[in-house]
Amino acid sequence: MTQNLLLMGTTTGLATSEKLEQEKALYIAWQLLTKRGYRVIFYTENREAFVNLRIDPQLLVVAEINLHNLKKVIQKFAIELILPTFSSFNTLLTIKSFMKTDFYQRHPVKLINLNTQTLKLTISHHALNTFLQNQGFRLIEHQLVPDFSAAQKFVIKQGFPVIIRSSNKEIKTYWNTISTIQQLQDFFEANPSNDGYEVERSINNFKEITMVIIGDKFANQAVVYSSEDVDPIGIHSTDSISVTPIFSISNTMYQRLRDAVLRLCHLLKIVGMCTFHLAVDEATNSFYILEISPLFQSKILPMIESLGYPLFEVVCEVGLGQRLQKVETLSGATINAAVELTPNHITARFPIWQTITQKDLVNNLGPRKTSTGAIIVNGNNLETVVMKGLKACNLQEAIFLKHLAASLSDEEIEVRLFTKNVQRIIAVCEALDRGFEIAEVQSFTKYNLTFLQTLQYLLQLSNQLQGQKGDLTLLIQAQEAGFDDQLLAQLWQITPQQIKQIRQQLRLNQIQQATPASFDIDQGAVLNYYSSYLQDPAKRPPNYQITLANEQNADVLSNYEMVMLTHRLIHHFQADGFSVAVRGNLLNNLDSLNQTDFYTDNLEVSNGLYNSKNILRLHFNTQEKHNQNYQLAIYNLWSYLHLWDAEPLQEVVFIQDQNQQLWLASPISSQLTQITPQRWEFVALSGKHQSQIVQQATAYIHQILPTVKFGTLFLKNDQVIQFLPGFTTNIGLTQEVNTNFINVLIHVLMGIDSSFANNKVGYFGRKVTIYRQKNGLYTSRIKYLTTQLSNASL
Amino acid sequence: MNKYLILEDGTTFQGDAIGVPSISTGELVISNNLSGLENTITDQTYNDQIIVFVRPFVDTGGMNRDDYEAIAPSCKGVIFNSVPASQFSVQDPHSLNNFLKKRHIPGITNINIQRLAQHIKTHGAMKASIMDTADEHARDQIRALVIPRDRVKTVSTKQPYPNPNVGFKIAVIDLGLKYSILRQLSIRKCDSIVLPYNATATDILDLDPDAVVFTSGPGNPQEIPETLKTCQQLEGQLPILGIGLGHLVVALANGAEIYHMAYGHHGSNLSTVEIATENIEFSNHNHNYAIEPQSMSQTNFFITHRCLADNVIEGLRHRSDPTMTVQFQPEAAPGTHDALYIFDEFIEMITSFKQGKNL
Repeated sequence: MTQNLLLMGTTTGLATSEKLEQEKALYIAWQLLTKRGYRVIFYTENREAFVNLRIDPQLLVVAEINLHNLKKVIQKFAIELILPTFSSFNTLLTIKSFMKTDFYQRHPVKLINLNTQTLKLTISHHALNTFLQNQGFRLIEHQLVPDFSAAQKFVIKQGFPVIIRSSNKEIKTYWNTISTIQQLQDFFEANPSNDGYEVERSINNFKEITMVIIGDKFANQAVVYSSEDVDPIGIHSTDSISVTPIFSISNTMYQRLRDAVLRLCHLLKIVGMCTFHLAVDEATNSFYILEISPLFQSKILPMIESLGYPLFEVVCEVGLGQRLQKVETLSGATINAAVELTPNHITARFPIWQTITQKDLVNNLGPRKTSTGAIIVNGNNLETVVMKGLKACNLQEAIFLKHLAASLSDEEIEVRLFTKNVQRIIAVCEALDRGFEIAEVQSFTKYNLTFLQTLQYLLQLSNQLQGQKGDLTLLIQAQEAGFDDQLLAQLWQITPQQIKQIRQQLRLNQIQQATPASFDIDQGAVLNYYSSYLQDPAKRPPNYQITLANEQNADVLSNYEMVMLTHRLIHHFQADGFSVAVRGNLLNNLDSLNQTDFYTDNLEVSNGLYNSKNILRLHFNTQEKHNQNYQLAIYNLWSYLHLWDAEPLQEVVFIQDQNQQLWLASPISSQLTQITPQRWEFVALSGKHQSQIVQQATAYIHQILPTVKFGTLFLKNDQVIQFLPGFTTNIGLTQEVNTNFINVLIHVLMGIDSSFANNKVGYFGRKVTIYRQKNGLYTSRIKYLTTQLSNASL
Repeated sequence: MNKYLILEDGTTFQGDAIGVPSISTGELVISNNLSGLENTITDQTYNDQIIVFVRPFVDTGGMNRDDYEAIAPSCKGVIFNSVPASQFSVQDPHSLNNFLKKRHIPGITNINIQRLAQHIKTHGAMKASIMDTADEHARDQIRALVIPRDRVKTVSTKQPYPNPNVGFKIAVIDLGLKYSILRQLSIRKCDSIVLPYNATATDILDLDPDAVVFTSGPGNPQEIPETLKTCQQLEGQLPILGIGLGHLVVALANGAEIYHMAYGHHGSNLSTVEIATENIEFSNHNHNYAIEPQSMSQTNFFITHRCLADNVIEGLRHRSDPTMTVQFQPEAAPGTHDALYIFDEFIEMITSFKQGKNL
């Protein structure tokens, strides 16, 4: 008999790359659970576009996650199992409350990947500490204090710095680092609390380690992931550069950490996945458990994807009772998922921040998360991943060519080394370039020593290259350390083509390497490729009929829309039988089912992080289109905000074939409202075809844009006021309303006849709230207004 | 300086030199070790072999003396995916480059490790040379090479020596001993005496030990008939633990047969399953030979462990005698502590045997 399974948990409303990761995880979980014969019901607070690719709208519940609604969902759909999917504090609280109710006693549901104890330890820091203490683990000195004077006593005993947060039982509060009495006083004044405060000795010079364990109900466990943060503890883990696998702690310490987390997993009877955050101080040979989280953490998801481990497929399978060594993946392969991976490459995660220009990026770093996304890079050595990361973050030029901090005095550099902000990496490089001792830089910054040594080596290489133009040994050394043709050309003041010619003579080629650990996973691995320079014959790549290339943008909303658009394109191309390859650092393979070749980086592509639009480059080499290139652009919201005044605008997406046959999407009506000087609300609603709009748009296109294949028109009072040679961030809405959009687009681009029938399936809208902070960063929060696609209303 | 790795079938890989600038030839093995470079390079089981490290080497801390498994490593070369610049430091006495030079080990870094690993996986383990050129002469040399057959003799101690403590007296037959075996026995207070591979049963029994350990080591156990004979003579008289090569020695001595694996098990993160409990554990493996499953019917052993990846027999226990063996290396070093319990079970076995004997 079919069992009803509730896939529950909100993805963040904040448009970040984490949202994408969460949606991808949901999508994979849904695919697998459905394949296993479960009737999967989604309960989420936001519409998830990824999921909408295939899900039956009758099984999608979009409603606020709270106890009341949870009970209604369980009752309505006769839920037997719940899989809470993300680290949403609210979701956990709701489940915890639910488990205390009489309703739960009457309707007992089984939790997957979660049990009562792990739930408690995840929610309560105090409970975690008590548990760890009872199990003989060392604890960081901490105390619950009622007021300032008690906190002051703690500080006198432990010394500064300390971290402190108000102990609010209802909502999650953030830690603050306190280094002076004045800061402590200021904190208490700014944060009144009836529940007291948690104060803890700061361990901000420790290394932060993350480990992910998978366990089955037969008590089998495997450490499937480990990473190390480059920035010290005290800077939020998501704002730090992270590297997997762990690279700078000894084998002895690693095994101690492994023993500790496996013991905890055993004690907590973890079935599914559990993430552990640990702090390590090798000077005193000690470590602390900072956090236990039994849920998916979106920060580490793309890193695990880079290891090729089909994480979600495994989590769902073991959650349903399978043995770790006999897991069936989406691709149908039965794999041994009890593997502790030996990656033959290094993966690093570089955080990024959403700003309009890089100059605006003056953000301070601390315990509170501020980054809005991350770029994932792979390489076969640490030098290469650092170079790729710096390039993707637009920092290569500032560090190796422009030396942006060169005009500062040594004293000013020292001050900048102490200041925890995004720009500090430039000061660190300048200090190393000037000959500051590494030990000195490390004592100021607390950066990982190995990372600093790597930076110093790269800077030395760069200086040597500038001084010794034409030195071929140096060229090989530099390219093996991740210097690409463009940077070398700039350092030697020749063209990238000349560098390419030189390295070809040296048999130094750009090699594409697969990310899964080749000796560990065979079947079921999620395959992605990365490139590196090696003195090895280059393998001729397959002749793909269609290649899609995209680089990440700092504007996460356009990234989000681009990922959705690209995945839809891939689905259609593959359904039509074309061989497809995808390049770029934003896109990667999701699950073992997909057969598309993803190239996670491309050394030839220039950086586009702070461009005003996110560009997808399509290359066709099919029977109909031989060697043809197109660009699809999604413009960042801020780049066309100036079009609005008090009146709403109509957006119409059009596609036009070579015979000027025109396809018009249902219009989107949008309104921009400034709420405060920093805050805007951008509401977009889908509408029906109106004859006036159709007439105006058709006439405009035929007269002004007769050869343009696609684009967006803005209309005001039925008059066209602007043409955008691409799409806006509302393209997702357009796709949802006009289900044949992708089909028409593809066929027009490829020059194949297409039916232009426009099937409308529903109307809805969304509100994007943009908050521009004083420090130049901005955030975008998405809220879907009406969801007629989501028929499973409560 | 460029350096070339040339395989027996002529396939060539180019990279950069590290270690002593000499040429070398040996059997190529792929190691999955995630950490513990010192343990691996100094492990005598790699005698006459060229070790390929799949994982990029990142740690800049240098070679840690505390993790050596032998004073004089005898591998023929090391191949790295990548090595950080700091490990080439002339000043740092603990840098990898200095370590390899001091011990006369040649190496290559920055080669296409994925292509190499895939090649070995497809075509099986083969001989290889570390060369300065990639000409036909170099290829002829490797084709002419005969892999030595006396590896255990090379690495085993020439003289007995004690590792004193206050507990059970253990005779450790050194077939390529890793110090970590002694460390684990010491932790359990065992009073060990290390004996050469060709110690006779009489030599051993004269010492009146409480148990015997046949250690891990390099090569084919059929090349040490004297050890097989000793094992046959001791069995049933004393508790025996066979580790790695010692596991194969015990199996052969009891009528089992062995075969050469396609590319062996070399790594600290291979998973094995304990048959009785279906529990999974990760341990360090290092062997090119394994027991032929069909031949198990000719023995009086039952299988206790198998490798999850390829179902290879990884552990045995005698049905009546106090004899247990594991193909993997429970002492870890490098690798996880999952299988340390094997030593505890061995101590329990000795205790039970002594109690039975006293009764």
